[in-house]
Amino acid sequence: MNLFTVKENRKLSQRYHLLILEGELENPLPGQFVMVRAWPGFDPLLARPFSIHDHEPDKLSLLFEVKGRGTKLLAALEPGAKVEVLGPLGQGFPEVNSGEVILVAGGIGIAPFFWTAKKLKEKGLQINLFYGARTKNDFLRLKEFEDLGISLNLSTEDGSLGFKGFVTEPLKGYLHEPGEKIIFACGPMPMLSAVAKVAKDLGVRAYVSLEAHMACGLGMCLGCVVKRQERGYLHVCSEGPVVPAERVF
Amino acid sequence: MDLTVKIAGLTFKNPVLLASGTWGFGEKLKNYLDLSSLGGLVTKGISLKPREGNPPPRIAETPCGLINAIGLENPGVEIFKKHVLPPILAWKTHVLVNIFGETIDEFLAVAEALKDEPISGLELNVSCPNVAKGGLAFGHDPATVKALVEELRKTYPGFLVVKLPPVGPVLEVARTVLEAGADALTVANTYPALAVDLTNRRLALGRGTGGLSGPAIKPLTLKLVYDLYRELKAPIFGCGGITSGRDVLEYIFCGAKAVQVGTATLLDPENPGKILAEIEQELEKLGETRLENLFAGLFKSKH
Repeated sequence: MNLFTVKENRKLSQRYHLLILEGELENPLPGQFVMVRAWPGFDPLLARPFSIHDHEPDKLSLLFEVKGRGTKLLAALEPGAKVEVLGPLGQGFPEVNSGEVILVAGGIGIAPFFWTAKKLKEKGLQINLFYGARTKNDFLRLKEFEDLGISLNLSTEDGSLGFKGFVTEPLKGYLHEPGEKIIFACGPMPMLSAVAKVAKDLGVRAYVSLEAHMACGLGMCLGCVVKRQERGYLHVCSEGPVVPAERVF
Repeated sequence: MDLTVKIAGLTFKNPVLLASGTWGFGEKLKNYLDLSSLGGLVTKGISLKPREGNPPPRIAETPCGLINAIGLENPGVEIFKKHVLPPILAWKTHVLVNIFGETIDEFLAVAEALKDEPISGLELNVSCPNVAKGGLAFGHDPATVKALVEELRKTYPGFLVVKLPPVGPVLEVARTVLEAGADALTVANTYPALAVDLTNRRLALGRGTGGLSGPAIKPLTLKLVYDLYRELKAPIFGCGGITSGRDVLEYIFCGAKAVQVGTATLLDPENPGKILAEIEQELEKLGETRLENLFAGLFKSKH
């Protein structure tokens, strides 16, 4: 593990934090993740996996929801604190050189898409973000996404902002439009499943970023699996976290 | 500093082995650690046919501990032999293949399939808490393990270790397998354990129960090593919650000849290398130049 230093720990809302770390991550790719540990001793025992939210030379940002003991400890870190980071790990989003990239995010599933969108934008690709949240207060980093100059399609479950309902509804409508498209999706499993179905029905290629409880992040323990479509299990940390949707759904 | 360890005709360059199922097959770990620098490598449990393993969730964290129910997911002995084992054998250290069967015949068939491979030995897994057949069902029954080791000894003359469960009639099982011809014991596998997912009102692991590993179990397994060495004076690989060089020396002081590091590797892939370096530092602090001098020290002193 490499030592990083906390540059800023920004509380975005009651439940969400943006942790900006200083340190060098070797050749990361959008969609990859890191394992993070920021406490002494063995309790919590395991490092925690986070996707790369943003990356610049010597700077790594993680966007996370305070959910359990690990994230609570991360949320309490002060600038200057040392953090152990292992990575970049796993398989990121595939390289795209033409056509339009549709990003579909649900809740904290927005995390990997900031840097992904930035990198795709650098290539001059057209990017359309479909972003669903519970309420208008649950959107994260909206202004930053707007500043990237990409198309935003918001939806909320309670209708407090954007389309009222699940993100897949406006997505479905949009996919009917002609043009070469590819979908990258990240969010809860039911959302990924719905996105995979829509994509399949309309013949659009889709990749999903999966989440699982992880121990090592390196494919050594075989602990972080999800059911594979054919048979057996897929190892999220080594075969994923990004996989073609049809492998799981 | 002399860290060599001799067990039943095998010389290990140092006492640190990687425990079964905690290092993949080295594909990623080799980027963080020179596998040749270790005393040995114990492979993931290999069965006759491929096994898918258990449904998720397969792991749950507890204070200083990890409960797993992987369920012996492995590619089966034929694919293992053809694709997995050759790169592992390229590391200049001892390779012990951990084998598993649901029946005695299955164990024998896996051993048979491996008989011409240039491995250093076999470790019999009769203690996996996460499978319905084989595993603990064997390890809790002295008569069955006896039959297993005796049968295996008819055709397999090589180095043979039995990985014991930490619960049940451990001493009786240990004595039995040694009498039946095993060279050494691995003490021990994980402790049967469970975790609850109260939010969803169910057990936290897909299989229900699992096996506990990590620093939480170190004092328990340390006592088991102490008890078994005191009774049997047999070669023991201590395996349970080791995270530092000091832990290794404690195990050796209690009667382990060598150790297996497992969960520590999952926490940080550089840990086995750190542990190895710490052994030398700790020995130096103790004014020792030979690891052997600490071996079973508890039984040589006034205790």
